[in-house]
Amino acid sequence: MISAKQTESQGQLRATLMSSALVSALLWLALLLALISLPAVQHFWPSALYQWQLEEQQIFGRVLRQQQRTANVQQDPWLGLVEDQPADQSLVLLLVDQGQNAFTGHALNWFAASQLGPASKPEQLMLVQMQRQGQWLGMPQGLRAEHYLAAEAPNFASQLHSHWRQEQARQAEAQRIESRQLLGLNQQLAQMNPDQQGYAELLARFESLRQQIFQLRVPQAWLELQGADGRLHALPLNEIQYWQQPNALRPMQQLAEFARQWQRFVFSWPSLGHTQGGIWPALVGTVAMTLLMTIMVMPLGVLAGIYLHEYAGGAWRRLLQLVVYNLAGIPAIVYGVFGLGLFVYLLGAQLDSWWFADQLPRATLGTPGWLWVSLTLALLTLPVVIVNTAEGLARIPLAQREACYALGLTKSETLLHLILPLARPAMLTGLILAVARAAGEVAPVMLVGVVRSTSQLPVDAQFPFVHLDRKLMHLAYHIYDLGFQSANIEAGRPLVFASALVLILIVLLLNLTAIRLRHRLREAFRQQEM
Amino acid sequence: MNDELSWLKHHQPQPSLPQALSLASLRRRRWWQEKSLAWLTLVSACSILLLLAGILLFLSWHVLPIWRAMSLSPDQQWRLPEGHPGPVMLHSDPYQQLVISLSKPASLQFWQARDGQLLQEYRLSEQELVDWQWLDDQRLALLTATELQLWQMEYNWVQLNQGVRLLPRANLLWQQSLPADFVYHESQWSLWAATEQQHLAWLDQGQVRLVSRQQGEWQQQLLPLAQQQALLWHPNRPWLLLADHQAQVQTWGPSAEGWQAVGPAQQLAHGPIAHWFWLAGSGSLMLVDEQQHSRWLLSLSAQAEQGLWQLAEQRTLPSEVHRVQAERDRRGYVLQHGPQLHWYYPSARSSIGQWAMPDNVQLWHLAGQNDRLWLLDDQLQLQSWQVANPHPELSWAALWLPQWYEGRAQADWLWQASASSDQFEPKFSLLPLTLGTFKAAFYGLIIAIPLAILSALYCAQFLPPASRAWIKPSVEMMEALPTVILGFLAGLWLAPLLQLHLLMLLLFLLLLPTGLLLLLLFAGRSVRLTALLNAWPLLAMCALLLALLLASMLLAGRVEQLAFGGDLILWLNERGWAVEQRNALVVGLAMGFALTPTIFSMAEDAIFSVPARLAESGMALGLSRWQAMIHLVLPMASPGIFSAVMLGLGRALGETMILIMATGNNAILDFSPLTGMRTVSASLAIELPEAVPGSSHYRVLLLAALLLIVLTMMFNSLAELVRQRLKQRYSGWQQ
Repeated sequence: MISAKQTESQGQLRATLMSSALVSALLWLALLLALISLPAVQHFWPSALYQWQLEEQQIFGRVLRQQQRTANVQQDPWLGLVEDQPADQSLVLLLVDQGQNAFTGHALNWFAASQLGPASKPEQLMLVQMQRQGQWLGMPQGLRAEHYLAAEAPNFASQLHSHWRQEQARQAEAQRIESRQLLGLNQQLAQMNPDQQGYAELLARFESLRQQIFQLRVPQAWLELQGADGRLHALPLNEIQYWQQPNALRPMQQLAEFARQWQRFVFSWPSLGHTQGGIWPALVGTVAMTLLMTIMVMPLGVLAGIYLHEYAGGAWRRLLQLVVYNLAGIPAIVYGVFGLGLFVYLLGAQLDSWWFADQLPRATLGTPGWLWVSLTLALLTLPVVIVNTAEGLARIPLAQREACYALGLTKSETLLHLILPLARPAMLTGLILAVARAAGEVAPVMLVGVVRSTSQLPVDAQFPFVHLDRKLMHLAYHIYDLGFQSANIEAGRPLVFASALVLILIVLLLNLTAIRLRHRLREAFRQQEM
Repeated sequence: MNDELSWLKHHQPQPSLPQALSLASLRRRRWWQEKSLAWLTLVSACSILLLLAGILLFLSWHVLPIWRAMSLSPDQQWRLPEGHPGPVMLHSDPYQQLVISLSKPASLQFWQARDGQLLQEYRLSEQELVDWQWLDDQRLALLTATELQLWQMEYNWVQLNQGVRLLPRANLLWQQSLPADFVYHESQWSLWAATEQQHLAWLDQGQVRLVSRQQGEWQQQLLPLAQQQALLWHPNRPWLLLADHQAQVQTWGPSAEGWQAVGPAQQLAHGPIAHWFWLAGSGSLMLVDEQQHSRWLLSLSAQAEQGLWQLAEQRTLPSEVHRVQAERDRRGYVLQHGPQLHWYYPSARSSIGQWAMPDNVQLWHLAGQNDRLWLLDDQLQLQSWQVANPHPELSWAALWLPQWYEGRAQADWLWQASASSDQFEPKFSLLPLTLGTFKAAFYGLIIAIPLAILSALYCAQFLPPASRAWIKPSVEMMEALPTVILGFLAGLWLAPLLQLHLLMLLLFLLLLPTGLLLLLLFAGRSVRLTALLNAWPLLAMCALLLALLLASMLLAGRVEQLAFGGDLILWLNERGWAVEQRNALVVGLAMGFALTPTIFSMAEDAIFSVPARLAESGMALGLSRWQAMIHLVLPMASPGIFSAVMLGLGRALGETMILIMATGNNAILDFSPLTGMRTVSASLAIELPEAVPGSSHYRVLLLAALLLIVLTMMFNSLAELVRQRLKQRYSGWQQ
């Protein structure tokens, strides 16, 4: 049958060539990780701001991307600028982010490098991030407080900072009054009858508080910034999130600024149609969702895993295993369909008619929300927990059990006092993998309660503090939404990469922990067996 | 009792526990603990069975109504007041609140549907009513001996102290005395009316007369035709369809030079036309003659003449048709054969349902949203019947066979389910979605299978344990990558890149196997090269891959210039190949990445668990390690590898996010690698949140989900059964 005589090295050569498959898979992985992380890192690095002269016009901006164009450039409809270029002359195009503009909004434009001419990097050039109005680029002229010029550029950094601090403090005060006092008053007023005693007093207090908040929100100082078109913009300090002068930063300062940018990204709310700001609500939503899911899936999954390995036997066990594997193989989207149809449309609507009948036809539970997302994901991740628990139990050597039985312990005592504590890492592994799966899943959650943006977190200071009926934001869905549904894909693109990087880091970290735990369990008993 | 154990009975060990806890209670507690844990775990395990059964049951429960046969059940009935002259026509409002009747001593009456209370009555004319005609749901044309009237119905919801009620009104839009030569023959006249022009056509001994009012003046005209037998207006345009006794149909329309024939005359049936009418949406013309009823669509193909009718379906009739009614808002229709009512829908091959009316029925009318049938018997008793026929548009034929939809050039499989208006014809062919699902899985697996299995073989058989310890987890780590990220990269980065460098990828896919083959043939002859390659296999292959990539990059431009005239995509387009940016190649690459770790992990386990003694004994007999692997290990592991591939297939069918983001989501019916697709899973994710629960769209989506689940369960069960058998086999080996 095996006729040809083959030397070991020839066989080895075939194996070597075969390894190209493995290498390409690994290269793919590396490429993918690099592709995600490079733009994400680059976006937050305080990159240089340039100044160009385009004919009469002055341009401030940062270069987002560079592209080489060769053939037939002048046919491109979006390249009106370069019509006079000969057809096959190679052309370097720059995608320039010019920041916010009073007339056209956020400006992202392609320019031909040859047209822009030499670039300079003035140290003074400043980038100011506003809360609602995007990024502004310009030369700072000074700080205006009330009606006088408080400080003049360039040496006004400390002045600017102290004024900004004051504004922040005033904002925080306004926020505090609003959430601690005004909201409560408002609720009291809503429940009272206008003729009731004390109503007028409460109303007066309410009005005065509102006045106070209004006063606090009036800006006290403005940063004067001269834009590329020569206009002077007065940017109110209380609207400013941060500012940077990247051209003046030293490398260590750049690193610090980079870290601060990441911190802002993780802890702030998205703004401007998700093209600015951060992912805080999406992160909180993801965590809230997985937490509730964990509470639901762990007891059931662990108990079922114990039964599968410790109690079931023979054909019954094989059947159960088959069911578990089939559950694991059911497409995630089908769980979403099931969740939507059964939980939201049937169960939720029924519960609404029992418990929240006074609020109908506004649905409380009969609409997608936190509870249903978590429940759906709990079903989805149930097989993961079961399989990992059962596998962990299988790794515990028989000798351990036999010793227990020999001491007269019952099966349940053996399990509770010996086996389960030993298998704890396995259950933890199952939990971690389930959480990682849930964090990355998009298709089912978009059916049962995840939305593109919310104004409220699922947990807050408002009674009853934990709002199971609220809709959530979810990191993975946020990526899908930013990348494919948003109106301005180009402007949101860096944030998609950054969100993707955060998601990958979370998922990979969880998986690494799971792998390590599993490895530790395996090693622990391997030594015992020998 | 055994003597040796008898001491147990008498021996009373001093309990070291607190006095309160006697030994009996301890025993009881232990017993309870033992039982409760067993039961608790059993219940939890059964819950997973319940979950699977629940999912299947839930889906089936919602899908089954699609095939439930049509049925009617009696609802309420009431009698018209004594002395009523008896209606000659019944009609209804769109809200199912009213019954509208018309009687010969010309009056129009609105009755409350639930109790027969008379809400409104309009005296129409002093003269007796001769005939009437509904132009659409709201407008009624009436004919008396000397006059033509057009009435418009109006319905308003008003707040009364008992609650909201629908208040009907009828407004006389205009009335006009009939031309002196108007001859009345049953159903041989027809009115077309818009605000700025009205046309009345009638047949006078085979000749067609027309009175038109444009700019306020009535003008009479005789069309140069004879032997005409039937006439019908197009609902939306002033087009008059005329048929003679041989069913030669000719369309006439107004032009600057008066009325003229539009398009050619065409024979649409064999004998005289008994009934003809438009289906909802007025895209389909239904024609009933003595033997057959057929549906005709206006031709759209560029080659055929304008205005030509094309036959969509034709069916034979069981007997003569007495009355017809088209359903509201959907394309069904009802034909009355004697006392029998037959329901039809274009996509259903045969009648959807039939029902025999009571004997003494004088008039019938299908009302509401086609879910209520009103019958009037000779005792002036009005009965209403509930018609349960919610999904006529769904049938085996509609889901899987080509259907000729309105506005299409031929019968086709189409998926276009979301309705933009009531006039929209939903298209529910599951074939494009199913094919799209398999297409995505196919291209994903084509890439994933060789990559995963070769990697698994190498990893399990040739890698030193130290490298395997980190390489295997890192490949498995790929599985944890959320697919939304893969989809996002595939859609936004890979797809535009591939559009620019399509040839490069094709060249690389060509160069890779040839390069490896050449290396195998020639490097094997040089001992030093072989030794070099074998010394650092992973590094060498890394270099080789990069070199091949570079080579294809350099070659691509040259080849494109020489062979494809500078632009491959243009070249393909000219030869009739459609190229889309988000195509199956992109999907294949992304899916391949997602599937590789799944298959790899299972296959590697299967290969690694083949007992090492097998290969060792082979090598002891003189086989090389490679030969031992090919001839001994591989056959043993092949069931495991097969089960890994099945698992991968199952996962490929259910994958969603990559497919939403990288496929373009066009429900097309081809298998080309350069076009996109729409899959079942993507349709579910996109359309289900918008589908109304209980609607046909919702049910058909759940049917697709059920289909998906059944398919994946099939492949998963196969994989798991093979795996279980394999495990048993090896456990025998180990002993």
